[in-house]
Amino acid sequence: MKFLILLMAGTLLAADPVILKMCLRSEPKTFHPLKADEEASETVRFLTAGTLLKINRKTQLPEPSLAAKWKTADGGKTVKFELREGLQFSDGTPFTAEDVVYTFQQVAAIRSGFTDSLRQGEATPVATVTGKHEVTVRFAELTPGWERLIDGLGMMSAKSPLGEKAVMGAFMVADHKPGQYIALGRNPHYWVRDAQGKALPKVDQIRLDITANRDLEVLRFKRGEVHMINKVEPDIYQALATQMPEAVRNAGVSFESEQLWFNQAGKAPIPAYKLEWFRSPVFRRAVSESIQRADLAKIAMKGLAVPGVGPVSPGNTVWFNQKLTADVYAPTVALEKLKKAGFQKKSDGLYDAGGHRVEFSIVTNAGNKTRERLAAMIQADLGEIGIRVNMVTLDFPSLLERITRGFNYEACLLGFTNVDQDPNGQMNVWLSSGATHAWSPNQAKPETAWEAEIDKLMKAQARTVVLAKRKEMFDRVQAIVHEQAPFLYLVHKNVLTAVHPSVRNSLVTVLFPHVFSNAEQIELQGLGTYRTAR
Amino acid sequence: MKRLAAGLLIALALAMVAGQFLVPARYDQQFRESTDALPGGDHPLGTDELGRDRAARLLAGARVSLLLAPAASVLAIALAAMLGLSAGWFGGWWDRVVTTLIDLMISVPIFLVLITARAVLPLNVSPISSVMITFLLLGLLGWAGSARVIRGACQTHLNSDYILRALASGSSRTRILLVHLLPNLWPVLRTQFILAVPGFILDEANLSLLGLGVAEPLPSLGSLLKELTHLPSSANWVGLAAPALLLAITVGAFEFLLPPKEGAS
Amino acid sequence: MATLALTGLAAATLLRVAPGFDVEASELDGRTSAETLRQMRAARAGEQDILSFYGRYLQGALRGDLGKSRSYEVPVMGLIRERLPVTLRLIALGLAGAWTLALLFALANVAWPGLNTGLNLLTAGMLSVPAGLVALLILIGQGPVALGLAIALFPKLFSYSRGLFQQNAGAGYALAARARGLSAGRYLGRYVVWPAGPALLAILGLSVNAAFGGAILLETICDLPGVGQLALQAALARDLPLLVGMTLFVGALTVSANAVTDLASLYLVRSRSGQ
Repeated sequence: MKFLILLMAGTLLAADPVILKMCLRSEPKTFHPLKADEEASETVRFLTAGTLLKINRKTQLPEPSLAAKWKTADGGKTVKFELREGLQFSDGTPFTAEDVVYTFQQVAAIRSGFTDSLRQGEATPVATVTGKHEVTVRFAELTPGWERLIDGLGMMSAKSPLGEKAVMGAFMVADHKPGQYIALGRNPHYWVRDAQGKALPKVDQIRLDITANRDLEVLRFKRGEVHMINKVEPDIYQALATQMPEAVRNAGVSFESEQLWFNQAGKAPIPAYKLEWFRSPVFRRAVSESIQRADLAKIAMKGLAVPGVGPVSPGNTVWFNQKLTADVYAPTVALEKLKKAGFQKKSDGLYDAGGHRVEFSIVTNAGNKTRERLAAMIQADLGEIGIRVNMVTLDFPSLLERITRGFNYEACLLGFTNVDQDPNGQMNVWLSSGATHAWSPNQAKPETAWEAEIDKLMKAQARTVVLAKRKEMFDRVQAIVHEQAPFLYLVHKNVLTAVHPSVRNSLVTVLFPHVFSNAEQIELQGLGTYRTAR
Repeated sequence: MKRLAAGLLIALALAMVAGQFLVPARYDQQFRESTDALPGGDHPLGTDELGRDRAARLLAGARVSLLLAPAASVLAIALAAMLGLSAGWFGGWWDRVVTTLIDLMISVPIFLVLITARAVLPLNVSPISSVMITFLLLGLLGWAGSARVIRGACQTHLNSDYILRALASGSSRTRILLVHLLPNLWPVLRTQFILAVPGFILDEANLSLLGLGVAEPLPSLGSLLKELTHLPSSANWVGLAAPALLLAITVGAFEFLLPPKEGAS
Repeated sequence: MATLALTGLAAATLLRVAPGFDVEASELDGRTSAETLRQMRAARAGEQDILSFYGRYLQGALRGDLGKSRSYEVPVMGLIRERLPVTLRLIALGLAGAWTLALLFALANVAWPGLNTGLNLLTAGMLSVPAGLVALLILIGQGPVALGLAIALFPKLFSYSRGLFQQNAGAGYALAARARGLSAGRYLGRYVVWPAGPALLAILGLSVNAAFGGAILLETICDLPGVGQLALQAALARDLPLLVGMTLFVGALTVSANAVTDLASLYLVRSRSGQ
């Protein structure tokens, strides 16, 4: 009798699906694995797509996934992948070498930020079937760090009637209500097993609720309605650390930064004398040395950041130039430098050689409390040396328009997210001809000597796979950027996450995704143990 | 009661003017050693997260909002009165035009206009100018609701007995307008004005909640009200609630000051 | 009908003219090449000329097709249909609550003038809290969102109805009726509430509009999947088909609501002056 009751209880409990709940900041723009460019789409892609290899977020080294092993040849331009056998897509369609070839063909056909990262010029890697379960991929040019690119390349089926909806990851899209949520269900054909041989993933469903409201998200987290928060704002983290200390995880310095830059574009519709200030490295360095980065980190970021150094954060131990340190706060020295350059500090402010009051505006995006605090503190700091700063918060599309189209802005405070570990991922930022060379994009030829030098170094480091040589060249780039300060790096944020105590096995890493890189292993306590064996 | 209300408002006005002497700190001065401080010592209401004195910011914010919101209301009610009255009075095609305009103003998403206006503002306007422009816009866009009410009241009065009697007894239309209609509509205008003032302060606060309010570092009552969102996790509830209390007292005092509406006669 | 079309055009033009219309967040992605950006921009070319876009859009709208949302990639009509019940429920409950409370309190105030001070304080208190804040507090306290809407709408409704009722109560013939010994109930009903009918109806239409406005804020903050939240997101994402579709739809609703109350009000006024 007892056994029957237990069995019934077990079945009843087993009938309730185990759902892991997280929030997305915005609606994913696409579910197509090759078009996923922003965080929401990349989250879905990470959880649903199968890739030839996976970068272990903890060790940061590539591990076999759909490809059991691989071999490079031809100096690194060719890679031969040996695929696992007997695998299937989520709808049962067999996974074959043809699918890999098809995926690479799609990379050529589709234009997105992601496919551009695989593009060299206009060419993309070409894949050919070279054996029953073997595919050879040939890159057009040497691609150092190609493993990280392949880690993001979700395999698509050439034959499945579901098209790109057929996936090989641990989960698949089960339900989608636009603007509300996305439900990811278990992929019945997922091939990975755990140490005991049981099929993964351990949870039945991942529910991604779409909510832009961070206060709401943390409120629901406290009630247990949300289990993990991938990126927590500093003030929310601070509050949560006192209320639920066991739930917060600080993974250390991230790769990201918040930075301030001045508009140096020639076609900017701003007064010529202001453009002159912004183009003067003396001015930029003086501003940089008048900002109290320690205060920014302590107060604006609630102590959950380190002073900003340069394009690579100290958290990126592989690429960080150890010789660089954050600019020291030295306003008197800064004023001396400015005086030598013709500026004059009068009782009511700083004036340039032409008698103009030094005043400029900083635009940033509205609704971001951290940036508003940073800007307010910079405003106060620069006020000490007589510079008047006007803070302007704009909604994001308006901001984007000003900094990418009209160039109708003076200074901008933003942070670039999803910063790649490898400098090649930021090529378009450092090349003077790049579209995201924020202070003066799309230059026909380099406007200054130092930008020309950076161009040379960046192109050179992309042509070799020897890490030591690449680091040497990129170290020089970092030093130049530090000297010339086209970006004034303010702070490097920590990776702040929250994991509910009922969640087991979650790995918190500095690399994206921070809390669910091993989503298939995650369990929810108490409910996971009642699952019947499959 | 009226004397109490009047007294309160005068005290408030004095405090706003003499504020600098009562609270020596400037509203934008960041005391970085004592952020999020509780009330006491140098800071009677504590400090905010950047170390700025809350009392100083409250006085500055009150100055901004309590001067500009009534100004915006005057603008809005003046527009509403012109359009609503003329629509009710003249009727016919003009009434139709005005009604269409009112419907349009009400249906178009106002925050879109505000977002757009904010985005096309030149970048280097001083914070005080940006505040004035925000309230100006709110006034220019906020007349539609009141116009509707005024038009409705106008129509009601025009159809009532005493007006018909005046017409029948041969009074000129101008005389009816000035002597009979306007004095009776005055209470409506007054009510709308009183309702509009806190309404505009709150509109500015809601814009702040969306991040599109007054430019830093200038505070307004609206942006200070926004900080109430920290109430659950902060110990300084006096400092956080002070702006709301001030607004409530001011609005309440306003209401008490105005005499009760006379009946139609 | 013309108003509606105009409203839609106004919204469309505003969006088109608003800065940031044809930029994508991808423009800040360090990987995106110039050619990809060029192609992305070309894809939006169909919306550049606002008049021709709107013309085509209206043609579709007349057939009941409100276009396809750019940010959600699904038909606008479907989105609206899914979300409308949530908003309608919120507005209905909020309005019912606000009106009931407003009328009751206003009547009570007329009947018992001693309540004046207390009610003034209550109103002032409610007026001084931004709707957004009320929404947040309700969120934290896990209360019903409609309560937030009722709180937001109550002060103005109460103030206005009280003003009307007091005006009516102070009228000569009303006082005379009371002096004649008419029962409180009949006095209140016939001389205080009934004459206020047309003016109250005018406010009813207005309150529906205000309720929609409040719904946008409340839905955004409390994360309710209604049309209000959709409207804000459409504006922020510069999603032209969605915003125009929503404006037309909501505009149609509010215009009809107002037309109904206008007619009712006019009817009441005419029927009375005919007495």
